[in-house]
Amino acid sequence: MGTKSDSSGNKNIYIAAFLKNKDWLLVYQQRTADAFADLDKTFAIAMVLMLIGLSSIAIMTFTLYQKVFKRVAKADIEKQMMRKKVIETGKLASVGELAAGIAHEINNPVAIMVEEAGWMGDLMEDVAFDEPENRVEFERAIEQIQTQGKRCKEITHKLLSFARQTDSTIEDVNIKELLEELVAFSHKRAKYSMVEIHTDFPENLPSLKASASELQQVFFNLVNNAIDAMDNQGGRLTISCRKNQQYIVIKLSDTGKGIAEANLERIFDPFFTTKPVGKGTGLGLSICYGIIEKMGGKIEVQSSVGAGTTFSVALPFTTEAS
Amino acid sequence: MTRSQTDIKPDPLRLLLVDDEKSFVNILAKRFQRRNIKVTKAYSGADAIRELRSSEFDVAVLDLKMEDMDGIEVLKILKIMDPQLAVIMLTGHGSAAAAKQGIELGAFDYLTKPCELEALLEKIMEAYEHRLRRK
Repeated sequence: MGTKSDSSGNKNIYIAAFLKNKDWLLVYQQRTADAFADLDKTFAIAMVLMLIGLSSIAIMTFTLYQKVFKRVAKADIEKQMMRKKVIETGKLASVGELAAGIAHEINNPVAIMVEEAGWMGDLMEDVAFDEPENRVEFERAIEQIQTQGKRCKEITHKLLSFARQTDSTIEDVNIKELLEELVAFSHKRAKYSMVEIHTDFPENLPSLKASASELQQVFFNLVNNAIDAMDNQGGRLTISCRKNQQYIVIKLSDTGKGIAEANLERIFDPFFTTKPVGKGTGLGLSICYGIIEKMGGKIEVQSSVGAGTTFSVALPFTTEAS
Repeated sequence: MTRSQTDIKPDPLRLLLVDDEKSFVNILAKRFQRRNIKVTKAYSGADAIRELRSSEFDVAVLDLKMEDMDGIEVLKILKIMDPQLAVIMLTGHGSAAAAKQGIELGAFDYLTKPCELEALLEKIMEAYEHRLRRK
């Protein structure tokens, strides 16, 4: 078998074979193009198909990539909006809790004032109501009304200073003052739950560039959670503050029931709660997480069931030079 | 209570007033005494239990939120000591759940603080009559 070009330049294939005990030799000649026509045609079709296949894969990859990219970008925007919404919802929830607490605090002094005024009315019904002993009673009742009125004023004043800033304006925040204010505010609630609050705040901590109301929200949530964790049996909440390199680290340790290991990974997830239905929104910690992350800080938790939980919050501060 | 008083008037209602807000207990006691109610003041859950151990009462007015003990716990103990005692609970706003629990535990009724003296008096009289009927 072999190939050879003829005089007109066409390639031919020659095949030779002996027939009948080498008496005959059969020589067969065919043009190469003719012999391989089917194969070449198939090859050409295969190439075209492959090209079409490859280009459609390329186009698909490109469009899919574009679609996925767009979807991820959209999801990112949605996530941000969601987080903002979650923070706002949480703000409402903590405002609600605060309002309930305030209503309770104010009820007692108001009840006393109402009764004292009523008592004065009782005395005035007496025929001889200008007797000296009634006069003493009147003076005492008026004094009581004044004292209790002042008590109401103090409560509302405290509430106002606590909730003064509901926006997230960045300012210089003295973390020690903020935490002390918060402890004073939670004192009554802690007392009802038989929780002792101990504080360890050093002087001369650098100030933070942050939103005071957001920081209040973070620590209000953490303190409330700690008190909740010790609600049935009472306990001790220790709040400490330390400067560590470029961070101020605030630790809140309670002696409450602790967090089960299975739940530990999920506590910062929105809507995750172990509290009974209607008691917790499951938003507190996820909001804390969002706020701290936005500030470039970190929040960590350590817990052992039955022994208690420690939350540490590290917040970056800017030095005078920067 | 002196003999001469009871000769003229019927036996005054014996009321146990339990609240850790001393000023509130004191002024309420004065106003009730003026309305011929014999008031015993208790400034804590422990005080209330001590008072009930030494004397008998017709009606108790019990604040649910006190610093030494949970009002519901006090209610449980008072009802064990004297199942006939008619207890009216005073609750803060938004404590309907606790009040409901109290009624399940045998409290007569509840009022939200601050309440009108007349409303409280009316409730006390209702509770008293209820107790007399059950006796």
